[in-house]
Amino acid sequence: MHDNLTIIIIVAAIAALLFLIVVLLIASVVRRALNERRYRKLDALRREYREQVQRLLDKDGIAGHEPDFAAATDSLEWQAVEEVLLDLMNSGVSGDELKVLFHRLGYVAYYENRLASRNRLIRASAIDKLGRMGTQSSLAKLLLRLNETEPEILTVTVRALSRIGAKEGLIAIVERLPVLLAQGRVTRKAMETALLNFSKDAVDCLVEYHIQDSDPWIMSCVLETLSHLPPDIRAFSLASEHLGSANPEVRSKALKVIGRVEAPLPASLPDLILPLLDDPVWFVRLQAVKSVNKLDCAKVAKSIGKLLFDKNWQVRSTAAFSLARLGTCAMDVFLGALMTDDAYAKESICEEIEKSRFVDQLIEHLGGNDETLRIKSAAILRIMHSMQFSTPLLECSTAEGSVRIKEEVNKILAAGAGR
Amino acid sequence: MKTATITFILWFNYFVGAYFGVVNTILAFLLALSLFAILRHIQRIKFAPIRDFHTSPETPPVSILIPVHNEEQIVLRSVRAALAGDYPLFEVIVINDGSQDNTLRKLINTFQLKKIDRVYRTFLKTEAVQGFYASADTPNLLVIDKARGGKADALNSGINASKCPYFCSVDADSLLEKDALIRIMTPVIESGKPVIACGGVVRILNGVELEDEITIKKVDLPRNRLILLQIVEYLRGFLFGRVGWDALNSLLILSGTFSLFHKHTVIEAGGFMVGNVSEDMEMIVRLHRLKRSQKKPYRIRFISDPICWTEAPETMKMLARQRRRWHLGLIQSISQNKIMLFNPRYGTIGTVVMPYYVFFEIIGPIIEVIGYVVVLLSYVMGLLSIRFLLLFFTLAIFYGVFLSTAGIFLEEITYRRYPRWRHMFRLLLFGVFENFGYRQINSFWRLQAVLNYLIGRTGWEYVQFKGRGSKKGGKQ
Repeated sequence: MHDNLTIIIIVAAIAALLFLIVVLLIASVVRRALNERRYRKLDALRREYREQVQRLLDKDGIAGHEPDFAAATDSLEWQAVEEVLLDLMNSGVSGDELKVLFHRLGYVAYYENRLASRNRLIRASAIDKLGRMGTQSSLAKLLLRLNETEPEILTVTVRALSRIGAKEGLIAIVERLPVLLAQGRVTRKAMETALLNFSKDAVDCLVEYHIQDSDPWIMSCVLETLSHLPPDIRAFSLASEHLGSANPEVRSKALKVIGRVEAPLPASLPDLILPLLDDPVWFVRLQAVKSVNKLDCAKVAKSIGKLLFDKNWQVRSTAAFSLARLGTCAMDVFLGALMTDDAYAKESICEEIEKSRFVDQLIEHLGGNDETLRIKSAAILRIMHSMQFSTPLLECSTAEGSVRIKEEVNKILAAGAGR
Repeated sequence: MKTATITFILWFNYFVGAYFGVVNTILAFLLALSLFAILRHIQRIKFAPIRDFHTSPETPPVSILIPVHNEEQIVLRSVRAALAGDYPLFEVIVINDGSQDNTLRKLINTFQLKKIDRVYRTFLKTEAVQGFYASADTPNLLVIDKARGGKADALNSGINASKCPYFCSVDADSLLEKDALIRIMTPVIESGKPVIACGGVVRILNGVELEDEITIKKVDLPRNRLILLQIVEYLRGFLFGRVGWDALNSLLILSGTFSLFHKHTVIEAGGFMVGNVSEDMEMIVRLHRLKRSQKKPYRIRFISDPICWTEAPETMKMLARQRRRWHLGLIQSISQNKIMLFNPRYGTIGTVVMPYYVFFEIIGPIIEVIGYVVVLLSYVMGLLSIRFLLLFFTLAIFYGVFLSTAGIFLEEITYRRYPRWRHMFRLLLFGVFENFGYRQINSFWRLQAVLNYLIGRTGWEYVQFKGRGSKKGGKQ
């Protein structure tokens, strides 16, 4: 009895496994067959509708032709029309006309209904579709989604609102920034990417709503976004006010905004930036060095020069790069720094002189008539060679060009210590 | 004495049976989890913000690190594929790890590279760097020429030279799909917790037809049966193994062939470990160890839509070497971080995942190989009934067939990269074949790796790929 039972159990287990294997096999086959049929038809429909829409758009527009595209909800035709219209919208074709068409064909209402679904993925997908369709009539319903707590829904809603690009959407997001960013419900990168979609509108709104914001996390996000939007005097003012913030990230982002200011440069600019070159936090100093580029060389070269000896290598390199971009007027500072014993600082300087191609100017000076420039350039190049940054000199010595320059270069190379 | 021996053999047989039962239960659990996770991920891809991130200045820059050693046949292809990536801001750093062939010369000639002077900051100690090469025409390409130090050393050198906050390690014989980088970066940008590493799917390149040398033109299956078996194995491993562990937030392995890392965290962890034959896995274990001891929130993710294609060994000899190396790497990674084992301080990684790897992955092959021999001998000697033998084969073989079929089914309902009917049938067929010989041979190779480890033979075994002479796997 016991033996029979064991046999029955084993056979049942084998049978169950075989059954599962066969089910998977049949499911794979059936699924593939159905999908193949479905996608063949869908491809044909997409081609057909794309040609039809394009023809109408080229002629007198789609208005009045809605019945040609009407289809039963969730049918293949429905899916094909939706995909074709979204594709055209993405490529920037007749956006307004297509938005109306989405509305009239019932897509907007359909996805608005799906916003009530209990399934999070269905809701997120509907929000995304409404955003891609860009219909402003869905705004009110989408704004309600901002009251949800699910990070995924919030992220997709913010993105959808940014695609629609309406001011109400922007205001709603900006007003709720603290809530949305709290506990990473929407990550800062995702939020900043979405805000950038609003382009110039975002500047006014961000400045207006957050000028008094004391939360450094929010202010950093606001300033980071502003730093990627077109330069604006209001953004500059907001950033100026936050240069003295106790939070280093805020100071650094404020500097980033200020660094993008366009001519005519405000008279106060040097006084705003230069003190931050001595900031105790390295990434603030780094951003300050990046932001001083637009200032007059005579005013900043010495201040940047101090940072060539910074304890942080990123600051040292950026300072060297900034000085190299300032060009000839920074030569004394370079020379002074290269005369010291600080090998780390000297390496950074040599690297940046080469990377910024300032080295080409230095070599050019060797053949010039300005004696002072020639001597200083030769001195810098000699030190670079001694630090094994000799490639530009070696290239120059073998390339065709001014005989005088070549002679000078060969003298430097002959002085030795390089490779 | 004889009775005691027989009792012992019988109990060992029962133990082997129970062992297969437990392994299969865990795998079934992973399969169920993966099915759920992967279907949800497919839904999510439909509204993933790939396009937004592609144009956003907020998308973090990435360095693609490609370590190469004697890869003159294929180095250009992988570098071109990496350079052709669709990503807002990235640099490609090729690290020539002491190649003795024309790898460096080919790179210099093709990309018009010139030697440049550059400061080399050794955040991670490496073998000496002999030169840097760059070109004005391809400003985001940098080639580092360095003395031979192995793959881990080359990666560390690339990290030292990288100027981006994230880096992606890619093997020289691999081909990144154009949108692979932006897809692998998406969880990093969208996750509420800092994602310090993220892996994508590795698929087998053999048999695939390429266009312009770098774009997948037609996915096809190769004739080589060994490769077919590996394709089935990869599908199972990536689509339900790793997806399942990811759903449990317990990933211990990401493939070094294609993984993204947060550079600062890797430097903080001490970089890739030179001397470990599976530096990618060891790094993941050490990242867990670092973050858990710091008690800082983090995630290590695996996602199934970014794809990297890679070459697979075409001969048994080379495959054996590869598998021994992988298993040896697993043993080394666990033993080098054994402090985490059963240690509640390291959460589920220490109390669940690492014990799983020890008992079912490291010791597994020993039990499996000995189990097959002992069970069969016991039956022949009349110690076991046909019932037990049937039960054993059900658990050890038929269940494996089910899992292999399930892996192919997952591919069918998700990405379906093998488009033709004959592809599906061949894969299903090889899903069955895989369990009659291939898996057992694999267990044998893994057992060899265990023995090698025990006797101290822990050197690298290089894998040579047929037809193009490139080597993978480090030192000879």
